[in-house]
Amino acid sequence: MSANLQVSDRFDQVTSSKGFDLEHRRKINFNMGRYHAAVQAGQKDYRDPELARDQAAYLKWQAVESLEKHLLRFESACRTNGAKVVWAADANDALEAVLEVVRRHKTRLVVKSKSMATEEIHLNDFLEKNGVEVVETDLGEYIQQLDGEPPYHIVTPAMHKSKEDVAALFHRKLGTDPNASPEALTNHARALLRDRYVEAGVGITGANFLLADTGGVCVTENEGNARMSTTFTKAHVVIAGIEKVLGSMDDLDLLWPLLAAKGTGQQMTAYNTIFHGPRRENESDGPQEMVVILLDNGRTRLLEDPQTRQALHCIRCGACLNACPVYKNIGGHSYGATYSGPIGKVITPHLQDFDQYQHLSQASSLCGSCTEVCPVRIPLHQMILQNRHQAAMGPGASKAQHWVWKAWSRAMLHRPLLDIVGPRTKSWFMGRFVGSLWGSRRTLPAPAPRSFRSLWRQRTNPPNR
Amino acid sequence: MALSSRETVIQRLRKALIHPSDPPLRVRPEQAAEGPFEPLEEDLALAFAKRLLQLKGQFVYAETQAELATYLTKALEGVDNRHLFCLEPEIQDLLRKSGLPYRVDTERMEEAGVGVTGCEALIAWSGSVMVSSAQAYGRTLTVYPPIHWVVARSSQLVPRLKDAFGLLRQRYSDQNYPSMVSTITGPSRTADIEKTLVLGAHGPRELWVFLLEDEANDNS
Repeated sequence: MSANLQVSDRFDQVTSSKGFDLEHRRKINFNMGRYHAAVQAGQKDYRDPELARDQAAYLKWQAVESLEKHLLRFESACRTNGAKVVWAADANDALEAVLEVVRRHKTRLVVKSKSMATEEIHLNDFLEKNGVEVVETDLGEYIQQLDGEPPYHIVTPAMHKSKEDVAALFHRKLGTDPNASPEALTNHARALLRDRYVEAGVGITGANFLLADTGGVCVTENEGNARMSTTFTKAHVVIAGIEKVLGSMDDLDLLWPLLAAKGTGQQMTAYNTIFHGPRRENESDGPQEMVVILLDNGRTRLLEDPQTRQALHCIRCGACLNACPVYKNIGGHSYGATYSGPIGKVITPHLQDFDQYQHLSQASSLCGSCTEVCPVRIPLHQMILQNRHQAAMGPGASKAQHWVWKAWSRAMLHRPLLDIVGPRTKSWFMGRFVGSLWGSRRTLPAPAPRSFRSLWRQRTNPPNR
Repeated sequence: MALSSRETVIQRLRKALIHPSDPPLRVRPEQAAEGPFEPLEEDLALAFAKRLLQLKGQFVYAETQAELATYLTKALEGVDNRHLFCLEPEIQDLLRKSGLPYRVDTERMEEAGVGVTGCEALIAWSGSVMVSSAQAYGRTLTVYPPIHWVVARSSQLVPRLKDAFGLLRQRYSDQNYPSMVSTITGPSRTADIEKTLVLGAHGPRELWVFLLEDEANDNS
């Protein structure tokens, strides 16, 4: 219960300052504006965008309904391809598996391409504690790592930074020109990271999709850093959530374009790569070993209930974050969770501790924009409501709230009860019990001197008649 | 006895999936025949070229080998580092005929200015080049040198992604897939700083596709 208070209190504190940070809002609006323009322009590639969503929703539904079967098929195909498969029931299993590979290859340097699953298990901290340096190679993640911050957004990690912020950061940490352009900064990072790809013993990636039919691991990226991280290293380690598996390679014909369209507004992301094991005998280069870690870490809890199961259809495109009016105002860090935005509100309480994180579902206007943009049609706003329902019915529910609602519904259903007291008493009552919830930035409206009911009665039955 | 992590997860999956869920409400399979995407232009080469140019890639069409030789030579003029690396006999042959020297010492790959490779397929719909590690160019040559030249034949053009997957299945029967298949769509790019597009984040800054007519041979 005390942990419960800490997490939600922190959320209250952070959001009540972040929500009014105009500089933050300006940067986000600028970056989001560019995203929305690109996505809008990308719509022209689709004859029927709604059909694309229907088909994608169906594909992911099918895949998750047969999750066990698909994972076993994937495992067997993956082994035939010469890769090792490790099942991780929780974060600890996954961390130990990574460390085992790193130790075996006697390396002190790991290059990593962008992966939310590795953020979820706090892989970097763990490896650093074990004396292994981890270099983030995606530019956005590299910026965040330099700044000592977690990613702000699941697709665009440094979305909250202006180009001036990044130039200042690079100047401070790397000694570049304080007024360097995005192009100069990118080139600088490119040059620094080139050597690291060759030095590193192990390359770590996430996975956007796993293919049950071919044992393929699919990685989508624009920069080429995942390609570089899996070219020179001795081992390629993949950390993939178990929900990533698809029935067939052919499903990518729709899901690759759709992930791009919703993630960045591109028709296709620059590099869509499928890995089928380590370097083969007849091949000229590539890692000698590939290990695929299948991560549960709470996902089977989401799977249990057919309602929450739908959250496992998510392809992590980030569209719901970009559509969310709450996200745009409080920003990605305020959530205090690996997965932010609407999808984060839905899954975090189930992946972690429900009572500790259910408050995220309360911080929603339920406007439904997230549901409207989701490429796989996850009913996000309904699932947020469902979390609220579970919280209200669960053991962690507040007794005081229960009684307030009870009294409220009784009063609303028995109109005469409301008229027993005058407007000044009502005003005092509201101020006393609702005022703190209303917040210090809004003024609680005072009840009118006369109620609508009495005004109406006067109008229909004038006293002089 | 304690269960292994594998058994634990499989048991959890089995238990969780006891209750099936309903399919999504809005499935409209009757329209599926046509597909959700805009129809493709008739001429695949033209569709491919338009897309690649939009992506800030370069497209060159050659009807004959002599034409190709001229275009390759011209393309190299603007390049600072003119060390071409090429590992496929067929493409090496084309370079030789074009009078362009190339290197094969992959242990000195850091000296490469241009990686010259073939491909598995060209995808007209998205302007993508599909490459794989099963070819002599391997994993390195299509991502490491700062410029990537792809020399392809017009018969390698396919309309859509699914057609390229079909080719892969034919070429590499199941379970014998190349360890890496990559669909490259334009030069390496990033927009991680203020959504400003910068080419050449970690992979090649330039991507050129030279499309050679199939009938083009020594005598043409």
